[in-house]
Parts: sequence; structure tokens; C-alpha cells
Amino acid sequence: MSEPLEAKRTTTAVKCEKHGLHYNPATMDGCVICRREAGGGSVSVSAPSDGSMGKALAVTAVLLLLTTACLYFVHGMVIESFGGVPGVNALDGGFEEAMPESMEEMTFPEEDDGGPVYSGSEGN
Amino acid sequence: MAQACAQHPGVNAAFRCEGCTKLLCQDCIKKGHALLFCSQCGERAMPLEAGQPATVKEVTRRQAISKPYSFQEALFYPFRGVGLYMFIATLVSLAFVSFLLQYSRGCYAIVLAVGLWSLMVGLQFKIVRSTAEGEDQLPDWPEYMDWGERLGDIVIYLVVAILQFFPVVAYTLLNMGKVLSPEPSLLFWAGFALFAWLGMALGTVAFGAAGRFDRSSVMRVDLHLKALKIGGVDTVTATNMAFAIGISLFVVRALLQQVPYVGAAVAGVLGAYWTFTSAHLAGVLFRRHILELEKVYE
Repeated sequence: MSEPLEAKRTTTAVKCEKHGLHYNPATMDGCVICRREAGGGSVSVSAPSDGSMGKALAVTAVLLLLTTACLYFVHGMVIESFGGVPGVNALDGGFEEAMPESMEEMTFPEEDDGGPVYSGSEGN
Repeated sequence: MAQACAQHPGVNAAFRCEGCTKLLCQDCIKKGHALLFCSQCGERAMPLEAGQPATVKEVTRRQAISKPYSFQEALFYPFRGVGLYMFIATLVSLAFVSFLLQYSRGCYAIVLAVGLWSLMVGLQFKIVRSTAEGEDQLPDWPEYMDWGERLGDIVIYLVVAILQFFPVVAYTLLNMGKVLSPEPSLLFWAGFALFAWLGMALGTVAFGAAGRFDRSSVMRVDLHLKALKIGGVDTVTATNMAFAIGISLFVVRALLQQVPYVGAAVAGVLGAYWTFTSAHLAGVLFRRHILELEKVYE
């Protein structure tokens, strides 16, 4: 036969004046909110991290290498798609090397100031 | 030193009864409507340590956010439960809107597209929020008639995009000569990849903060930097995964650009997958460190 409930109670809970919560002064310094506010609420329940930082950074390094290779390859493809002519860079001053033949044939007569004359267009 | 449960000597106690003062483990407490009680005398069970859950609501939340869930499992997020139907519905909707945009005239196609995209943005924020609170399945669509919320979501999303792409855009502008150079530079593209990765990390944290906490927290770059540090290895892992999916999307799009229909379909599927999974990864990162991040952002 179990003891009456009253007989089991060995301590009396008191009521926190600030928060209205009951707590046992024999075992606790204050109610749960008081104790939380006291700065002890840093108990972590976070799920464990996957792997170590070293492993994660190694994966990052591999990923960055692959990305670099991809971007380098795509850049090369883009240059190829624009003709792959070396020196096609207005910033490098490589314009003359990249000048197409039709433009090289352009002549500028010394006596005529009427504008450029293209080869094969003299009869017009 | 951990104290043993009065009923189960091999188990650490987590509570103490306010009535009988016995030490109690998780199995020795019972849940009331809102509070936790001693299963032996019925008086209230109080946590031994401050910061431990003291109410049923807190216990339920704590169980949800601390359950084991790996980043690998996060990759299957769009296909889990009803999420699969939602994923398919999203693909069909995107295909329909793309078709209208390409082949129809008039502004209704544009209005429809803007509406769908704003819903996608709202859904991403809901994914972050629900994931951070312990959900592993796609949430419902956001309220599509709440125009104010949709507009706010788009503005916040743009801020996240600016934070994400600012490092790589700034780097590119400072090295524009290398982009226009006829000879590809390996060093330049290595730097580009690095800044893109850093932007992805910042964007992931900003996205998580805007989705889980107050929307205005998206502007707090200083807090994002703290959050990056708190996340630690999880930040690196989440960023790696989002970055890998994003780069795969870019490569597949580039390779299949010339293949009609199939290329667009594959790119669409990958794009929708990245949309859902990147938001979920940000949510998982915040779920794992939510107690510490709450102190930073709240």
C-alpha cells in the first residue's frame, strides 16, 4: 500500500515573487525563469555536427578547384566562340593584330579628304 | 557531475520533483496540458539546469530541433512526403509560365510570372522557418493574396541576393581586364570561385536570419558574421552543398544550352531543386544552432 501523498512531501514549494512560478528553495536558487535570466541558459541541444572542420574545408578546396577549372574552361569556350583570335582585347591595344583583312584593305588617299575608299569600290 | 534518476540508477536525472524532491529522468515525468509533472507524486517536475525545457511546449520544440538530421538527408528534402507532389506542381507551373512568356503576347503572362516567382520566394522563406523549427517536409504555399507580404518577401530576397553576389561582383569589377583578356587566367577564376563561395556563405546565413527571425535582420551583416562563426563546420558544410548544387546548375545549363527542350527541362528541374534545397540547407543550419543564434538575432 502506498503512503498518502501528504506524507511524501518533505519540502514546501515557494512562489517566485517576480514570475509567479513555484520552486523548491531547498534545491533551487529561484524559479526556472530567474535561473535562466541569471545566465545559465546556455545548455546546448544542437544536433552533432557532421564531420570535422578539416574535412569540410578539404571538401571546400576540392569544390573551389573544380569550379575554377569549369570557369577557366567556359572562359576558353567563350573566347573560341568569338573567333579565338589572339589579341582581341581593346584594353591590351591588340586591335591591329585582330584587324580583319577587309579592314586592312581600307585605303586613305592623301589628296582626297572625302573619307575612306574601300578596295573594289572605286567605280561607285 | 550528473546525478542519477531515483527510479533508474543507470540514467542521468534531468528533473527534480517539487513535491517529493526525487530526481527524475525523462521517463519519470509526465506531460500535462502545459507543464511537466512527476509521474510518482504528480507534483511539478522542474529542470535541474537552467536553460533546460520546463514546459511541454519547450520540450516538444527541443525534441524537434535536436533530433538527428544530417545534411545528406537534406538533399532528399523536395522528394519527401507530400513535397514530391509540390515539387512536380512547381515544375509544371514554371513550365507553363515559361511557355506563356515565350509564345504569348500581352502583359498577363508577365503578371502571372511575377506572381509565381513571388510565391516561390515566399515559399523559400517558409521553408527556412519551418525547417529551423524542426520540420523535414515542405510547408504549404504562402498566402498568394497577401500582396504586402509577397512584396516584402521580394524586397528581402533582393537584399539577400545583393549580399550573396556583392563579393564576386566587386572582385570581377576590380579585375575586369582579366575578364576581357583573350587568355583565360587560372588565378583570376580561382579568386572568382573563392569570392563566389564566400558570398554563398554570407547569403545562406542572411537567408536563414530573414526566414527564421525578424525580416529586418537581413541587413545586419555584423550579426551574420557572428552567425557564420557560431555555425562553424555546419556553415562550411551547408555552403559547400548549396555551392555545389548551384555550380552544377550553371554547368548543366551551359552544356545543354544548345539542346532544345531537353536542355531547358533539365535546367528547370535542377533550378527548382536548388530553390527548395538551398532554403532547406539554411534552415537546417539554423535549426542546429538555434539556441545560440536566438541570442544573436533576438
